[in-house]
Amino acid sequence: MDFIFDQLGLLSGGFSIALSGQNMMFLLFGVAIGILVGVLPGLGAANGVAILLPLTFGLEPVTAMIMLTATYWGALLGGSITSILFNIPGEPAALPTTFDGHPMALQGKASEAMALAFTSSAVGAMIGTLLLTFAASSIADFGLRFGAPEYFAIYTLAFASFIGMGGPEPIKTLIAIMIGLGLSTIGLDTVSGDVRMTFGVLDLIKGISFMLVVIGMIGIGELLITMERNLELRGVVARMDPRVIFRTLVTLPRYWVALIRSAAVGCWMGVLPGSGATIASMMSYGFARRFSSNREAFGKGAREGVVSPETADHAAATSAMLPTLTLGIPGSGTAAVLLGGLLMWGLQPGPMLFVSQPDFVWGLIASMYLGNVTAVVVVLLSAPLFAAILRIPFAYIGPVILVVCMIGAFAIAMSLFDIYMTLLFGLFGYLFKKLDYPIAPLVLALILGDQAEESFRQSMILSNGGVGIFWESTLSKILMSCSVLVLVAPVILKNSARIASHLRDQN
Amino acid sequence: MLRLDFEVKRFGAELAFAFFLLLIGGAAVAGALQMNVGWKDGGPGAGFFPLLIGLVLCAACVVQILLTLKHRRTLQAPVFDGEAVRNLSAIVVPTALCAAAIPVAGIYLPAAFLLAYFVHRRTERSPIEIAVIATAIPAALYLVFDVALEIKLPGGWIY
Repeated sequence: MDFIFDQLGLLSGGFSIALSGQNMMFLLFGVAIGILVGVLPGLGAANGVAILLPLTFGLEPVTAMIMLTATYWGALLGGSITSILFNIPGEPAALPTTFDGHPMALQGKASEAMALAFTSSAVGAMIGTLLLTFAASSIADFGLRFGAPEYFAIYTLAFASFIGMGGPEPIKTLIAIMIGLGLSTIGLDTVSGDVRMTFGVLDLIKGISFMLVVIGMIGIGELLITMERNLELRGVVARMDPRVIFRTLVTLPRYWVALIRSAAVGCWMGVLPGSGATIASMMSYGFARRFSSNREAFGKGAREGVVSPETADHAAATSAMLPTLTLGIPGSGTAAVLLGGLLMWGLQPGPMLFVSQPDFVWGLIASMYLGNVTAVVVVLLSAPLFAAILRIPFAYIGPVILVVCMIGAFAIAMSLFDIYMTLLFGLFGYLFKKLDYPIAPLVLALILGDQAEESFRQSMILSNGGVGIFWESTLSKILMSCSVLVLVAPVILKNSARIASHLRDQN
Repeated sequence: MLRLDFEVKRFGAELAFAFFLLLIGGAAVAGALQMNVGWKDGGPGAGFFPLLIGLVLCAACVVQILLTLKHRRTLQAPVFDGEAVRNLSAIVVPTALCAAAIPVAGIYLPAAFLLAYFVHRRTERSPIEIAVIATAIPAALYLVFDVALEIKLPGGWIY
């Protein structure tokens, strides 16, 4: 009981920080920008956060982080508007919302579908944030026991999770991780002081900021894909009726099973590095359909088909902050960008953050409650307005985003070279998207690369060059075994039928 | 308008990109070998980790190439076609020109031209409307970045 009161005490301290006028103003701004980027197909939470990140240098870290996380929550909600009204997921995680959300809109229930999506999102987000509130300190305390080998083992687990669970082509994920790690080695080696991997290019001595890669590959790359398709959007026109919103709120508890199940799936997927909100919402939709007594209604406007993915999506997004803050291992692509932001402000994510910067951590956690509630209220009031933005030709929006990306790249180090690098990464990101190479693992590897190398080298020094050190302590043994398991399990599961028939034949 | 009637099948694109990534892996190995890849002052040298990454990247690219060759028959759908390349070059070329002009002309003037070009190409606005849009948006960007956020962007000929 004392533990709960302790956490609540810390949280109330966080609220006093988050509720300051300045922080609330930036929170609102973040929500609005987030909904805007979420609504636009081809731009998602990661893009919004990436584009805004270099512009937050002048802000206090807690204010900047509150704004950026609010952008994240807003973008997830914005994605649902596009899914329901236009049948195009504004955000990758909002894809399953199109399956039943758009049929509802076509039946004249757009307002109800959006109210269902937004309110169930709020439930998912609240459950994810509660998990963060009550589990963060314990995990951070646990993380304090980590030494260099354990850290290397946990980085290995993060990379292995991406490879094992990231998608149908694990080799492409491995390639993406290796490129990210390779990019992280460019520039000055902090241990030896040597300049490495620059190939004589002086501008590379300072290294490649992960921001250039994020703005280029995620921001410009996605934009190129969208503009290549010459996207013209025609959607359902809707307005939000307060009576429908109220009626939806009253009927929401009826879906308590779907809400709890989806929140559990979302939290689990959010905490695991490599999975994230998209897998959570897809999986949750699958479960909802599988366990529904009215399976035939799915795909034709089933309410549970909207409630389930939206709850899971938001639970995953908020709980992805748990490993990000406590262990420095991002649970999703956007969380990886946020983690990079923390490093840029000189804050080291991980267990020590809870000791050295409690105001920052608890201010941020409190803002997650405020941000999600604010985002839902804003989106309920303004969904039709944001939907109208989709009718503005992309000819205006596209080049503005391109110019903002270039400005963002320049602002990182006031370097023109960075603009050219960002455009180059944009083309690279376009090819990655076209050929289904995942970008999130590359970004994660680039952000964690320095720390992964440092912990590897420290471990090697401790063991005098013996790799057996990663299998010495119980903790690193468990983490390394889990890494092997997540790599091998999907292969075994995929081939289980063949293995079983082979064993039967042998018997 | 330039006619580009061609298509690139997924097989070719996958193979070419995997070879390109293999080249990057090779460059990483070559770059790492210029450094100390052995044991130095009680720890692995600066080139050890990049060498390891380069080697794993090369190996993964070789596996990807083999997988692409193995699945050749299922990779016959077009992934790039003339229209996509035309649309893409209509974005990339003016953007590259805009970026190339930044050192001399600053960021706002090329941005105005870029906007004017896109609006002219993709909408049916009159020249006056295009001029207003192309001036108003960079001016708004100036107010946001240079004035409000105090991020001093290159002004070029303007200031």
